[in-house]
Amino acid sequence: MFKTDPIFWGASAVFVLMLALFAGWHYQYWLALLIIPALLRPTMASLGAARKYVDERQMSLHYRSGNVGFAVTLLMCVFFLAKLELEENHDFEYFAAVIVVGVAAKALFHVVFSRNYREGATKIILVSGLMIALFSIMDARSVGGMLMSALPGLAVAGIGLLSIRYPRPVGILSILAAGLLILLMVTVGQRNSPSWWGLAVGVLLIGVPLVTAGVCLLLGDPPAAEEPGMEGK
Amino acid sequence: MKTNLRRFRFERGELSQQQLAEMVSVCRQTIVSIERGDYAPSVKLALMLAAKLDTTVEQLFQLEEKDYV
Repeated sequence: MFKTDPIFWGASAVFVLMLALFAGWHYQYWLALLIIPALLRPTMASLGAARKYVDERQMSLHYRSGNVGFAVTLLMCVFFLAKLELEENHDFEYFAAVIVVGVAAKALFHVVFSRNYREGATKIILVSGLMIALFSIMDARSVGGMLMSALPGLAVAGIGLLSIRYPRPVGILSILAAGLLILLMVTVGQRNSPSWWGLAVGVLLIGVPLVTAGVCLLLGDPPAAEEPGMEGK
Repeated sequence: MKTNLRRFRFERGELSQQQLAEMVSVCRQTIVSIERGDYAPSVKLALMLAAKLDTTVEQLFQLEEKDYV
């Protein structure tokens, strides 16, 4: 019934550890962390770390069930977000953060796994810029303020368009831009909104995509396989 | 997709599903699913099955009319 391979024993060890931690300290999150043994095998296989322990049919089942599970999780987040917002409980922002981080992580890994680095990087920078602009104008109170707030995001989106023509310079620029934006958020942003977790999500959402895009642009696409009869052309 | 995997398995020394699964490094359930027509194997697995059963992929698997829709 169970495959007794290294992943099974690793997952079992984590399972027992979480139960022991819950027995010692009665916090629900130790039980919630039982998702680690449950998702260890498909996650490792998806990342290419344990292919030999998952056969292709099992992997296909993991992909299909994972997509449905992801959609259900996000819909549950939307439900609880709406519930808390209607109750005027500002904790709804936690659910918004989960949705944004989840969708961003899926999009990011999709680009990385496709190995179409250059095109993917352009998309990442473009979408990140538009998202920054969108979230920036939400707090603005006038049209002029909206335009001013949208400028940094639109600048990032413009950099994304430039990456089509100048991939390597834009790669370096996007890594520098990520550093600058994170610095601004940690200094100016912290003064305006001192919530540490909001800051952490912001840094994650801006820093990770821009740095990933920068690295993708610097790496370039893997060389395409030559077609027969194309030698020397 | 039509499959002759079961027939070839018996013709090649009455291999069990478990034995064939071990030969191509998949689990027995994958062989069961392929034989039932519930799962279409990858090109790599199809080639490995054909090689282990000393036949060709075309002999093992054939497209049906409904597969073209």
